[in-house]
Amino acid sequence: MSFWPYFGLKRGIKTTSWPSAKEQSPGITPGRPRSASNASSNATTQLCPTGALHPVETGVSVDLTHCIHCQRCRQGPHALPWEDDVAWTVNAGTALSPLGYRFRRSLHVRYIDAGACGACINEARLLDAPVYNLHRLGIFITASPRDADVLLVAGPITNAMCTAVRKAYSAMPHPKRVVGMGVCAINGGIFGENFACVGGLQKIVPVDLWIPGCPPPPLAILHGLLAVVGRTQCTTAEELP
Amino acid sequence: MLYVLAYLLFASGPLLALLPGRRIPLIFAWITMTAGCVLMIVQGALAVGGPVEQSLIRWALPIIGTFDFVQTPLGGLLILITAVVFATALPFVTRDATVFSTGRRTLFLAIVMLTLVSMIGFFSASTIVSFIFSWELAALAIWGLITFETRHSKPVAAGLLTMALSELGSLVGLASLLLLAGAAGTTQLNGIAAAIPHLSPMLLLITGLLAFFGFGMKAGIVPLNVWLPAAHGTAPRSISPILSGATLNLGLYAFLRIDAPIALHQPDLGLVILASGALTALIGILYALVERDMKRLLAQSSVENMGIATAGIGAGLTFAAYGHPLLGGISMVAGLYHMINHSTFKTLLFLGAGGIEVATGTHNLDQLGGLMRRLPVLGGFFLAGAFAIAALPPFNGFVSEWLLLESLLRVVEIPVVPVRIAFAISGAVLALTSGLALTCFIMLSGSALMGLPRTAQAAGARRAPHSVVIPMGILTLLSLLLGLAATVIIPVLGRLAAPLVGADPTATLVPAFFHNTSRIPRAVQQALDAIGAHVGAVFMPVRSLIVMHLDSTAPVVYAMSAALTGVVLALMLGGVWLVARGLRRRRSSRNILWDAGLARLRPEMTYTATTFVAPVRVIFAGFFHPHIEVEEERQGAFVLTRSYRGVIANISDRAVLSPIIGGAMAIATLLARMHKGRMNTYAGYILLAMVLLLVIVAAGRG
Ligand code: SF4
Ligand code: SF4
Repeated sequence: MSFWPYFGLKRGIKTTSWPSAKEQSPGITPGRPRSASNASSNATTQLCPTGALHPVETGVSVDLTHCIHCQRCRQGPHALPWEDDVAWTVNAGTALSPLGYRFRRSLHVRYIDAGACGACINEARLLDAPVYNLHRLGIFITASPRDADVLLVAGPITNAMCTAVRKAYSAMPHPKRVVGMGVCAINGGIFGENFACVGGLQKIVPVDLWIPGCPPPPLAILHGLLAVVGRTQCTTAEELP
Repeated sequence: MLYVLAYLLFASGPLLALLPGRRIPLIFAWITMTAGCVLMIVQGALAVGGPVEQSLIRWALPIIGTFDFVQTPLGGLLILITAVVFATALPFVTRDATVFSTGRRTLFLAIVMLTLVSMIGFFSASTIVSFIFSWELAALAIWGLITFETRHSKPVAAGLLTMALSELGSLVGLASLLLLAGAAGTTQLNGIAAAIPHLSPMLLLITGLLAFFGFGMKAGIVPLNVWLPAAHGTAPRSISPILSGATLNLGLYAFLRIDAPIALHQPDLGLVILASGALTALIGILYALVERDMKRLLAQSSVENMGIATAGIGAGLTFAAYGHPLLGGISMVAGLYHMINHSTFKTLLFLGAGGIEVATGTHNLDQLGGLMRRLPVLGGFFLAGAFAIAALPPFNGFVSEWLLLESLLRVVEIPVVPVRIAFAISGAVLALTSGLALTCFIMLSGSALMGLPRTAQAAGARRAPHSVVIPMGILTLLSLLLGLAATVIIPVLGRLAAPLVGADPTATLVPAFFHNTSRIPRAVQQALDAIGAHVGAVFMPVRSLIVMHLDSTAPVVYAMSAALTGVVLALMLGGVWLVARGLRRRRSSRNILWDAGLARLRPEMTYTATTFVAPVRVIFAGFFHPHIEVEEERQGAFVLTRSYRGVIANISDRAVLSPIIGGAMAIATLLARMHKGRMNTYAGYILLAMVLLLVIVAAGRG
């Protein structure tokens, strides 16, 4: 005998109300550093293992497409300020407009793991969990690119997966959008470009949006998918102080 | 007269094949044998329309008794079907006979002709002697056909299995016939039928069951149908169409001839026939679904179709026994119709399988694929056959299966609750069977014709021989005609069913004016309109047919109009064409095939027959009872290879044959205990036996 209806009713609705309201549960996002006017910018930039921090005249700028939110720059005397927003989506540079009105409540996503470390897919998997419940926003995961409007790719694009990504892209019907998820997809991330991977989705298929982060939390992914249909706005890739 | 001429032609065929030369003698042989078949077709057609009974041969042989043959309309129908099947299969038979040496090919053709002749004899037998004689002759000829290619051990084993089970069936059937003859005091089948009302019900039930299961062996009725896929699957490829299309009807005819008169006075027998038929159909199609070998699959599907036809016959007899001869007539017509249909499309499909085997060298579904592009004409006909057998309109399978299901629903007229339950269950089983048959034949045509060729053989398929393709075309046409012109054929069958159930459904139920629709009174038309019946002839040229049962709430059992079918079909096809055209006009994009992102789609990665029916396997796992056979090759303690093979044993093997064999073995081991192999013991046995004998004799004296 299963008692899930009873427990479910007892527990009540736990789904987040984001994006209509801000979601502030602890751990909902790892947060990211913000640029700051910092006196000793050199010392701070050297803390960053991925080279995401750059010294500029006015202080330290953060290249969010490289940051893996490792929190090193959050500590110490020259700590950068920290934000816990989830609006991480960045425009990748194609001039394509958001998908139109018809897709606002019916967006079908094909997810491809192109050599991701496993964390990205974990976050993507959580989209379907009761807390995030992507279906309430009219977003659905499909099995075949034939039905998909959005190609969501994670990982540094290993050589073995190049063909698959390319084929999936060309198998999608128009109009289609490509979203790269995680810094790996943007530039190889912690793997970079090496003998086994291309290091960057852009090198294979045209990309419309990036969702930086390593991994991006579920709400950030949702933010990106909503940005595809124009329900949320992109932010900037490089934060200048 | 025609018979004599036809038989002479049949005999001259094999003799002509004796002439030296490679192709010419066989062409002559083919011409004469086909001419004989055509004569038989004419004769059969004449008999169908002819008088009730017409004597052919009347011999009174010493010892064994009267040896009579008559010509009846029902026998004429079966002769007609048989001759058509043979005529369409003969080109392929003679083509394949070219590989044999002169003597062997003569023997081969002679056995083929013997099969035909013995079947014709069986369909016109009128005494027990001629009946059993032709039956045994046919069994012998069929065994000869199956084992003709004796190079492999498989056909021999299959032939022996067939022979053993067929003889078992004959013995059981013969026992029933002798019991009946003894009780009725005559060996004439008609005399027996006339005496049946005066016999005891118990005897009737026993003899009826014996005859049904005995002669049913030949039609593949459960429980003993394991031989059928084995025999038809391993028979020479040109013989399978004949075996499945023609010889299975022997069993059905035996039901009609022996069981029908009994079942009219013994309703339980009809129910048994119906239930066994439905069960056979389900079991047949389930095993067809898990077959990988095209020929074995088709053979299993023959089991299914025989089951459907048997169910129709059983339902008809039950209806008639409960005092509804008209409803019974409809079910009987459905059964007969299905028998005709099965003969057309199964011959068609087996010819297709043979043609595919000639073109590719294999009949294993897992090694085929992509043949539609390589053998377009054969593929098209094969597809038509698959449509027909899957009961898709406008082909013929639809008519009979629908008619049968509709007539089964009329069981509401019988007030007995157990009968209703039996009918309901049988109807449900048959409906399930139809659904599974659809799956099966989508699987068959899909995995053989569509997709990528899975082997080099399939990729390099040669042109299919004309001797296969042209007969297939004729049979496709026949299938289509039987599907479209059902309204013309059902009255004919109704007339044939009349003596079996006691009433001709179409003559009685459809008033004469339906056959001349211009004279339908306006009032009748309005009444028909009110009940939703359609009298097509008001605006439709070709005859419509309505089968009705007037004194109930839902009177129309079956209504159809050939012209209307044609119109609807044209509208549907036109609609599809328009939609397709409209879609093509729309802005479309062409993309590569989505293959899950593989570097190259390999044939073995595509959907196979096994994958297609995987859901069925899972759902019926309890029934299939699959087990894994492990084979090990060892060298000392080392295992060199270990191979696993999934095996699905036939349920009749599992549930009937294995226990019998196991029981026999157990008895044998028990008896073997007596045999110690020591001379003293045996001497002791003899002494013991002698003493016992003496005691018995002495006791008898005293
Ligand atoms: S949190 Fe980001 S910016 Fe800060 S050190 Fe880590 S990677 Fe660099
Ligand atoms: S972006 Fe980070 S979390 Fe995502 S796959 Fe790359 S390393 Fe893993």
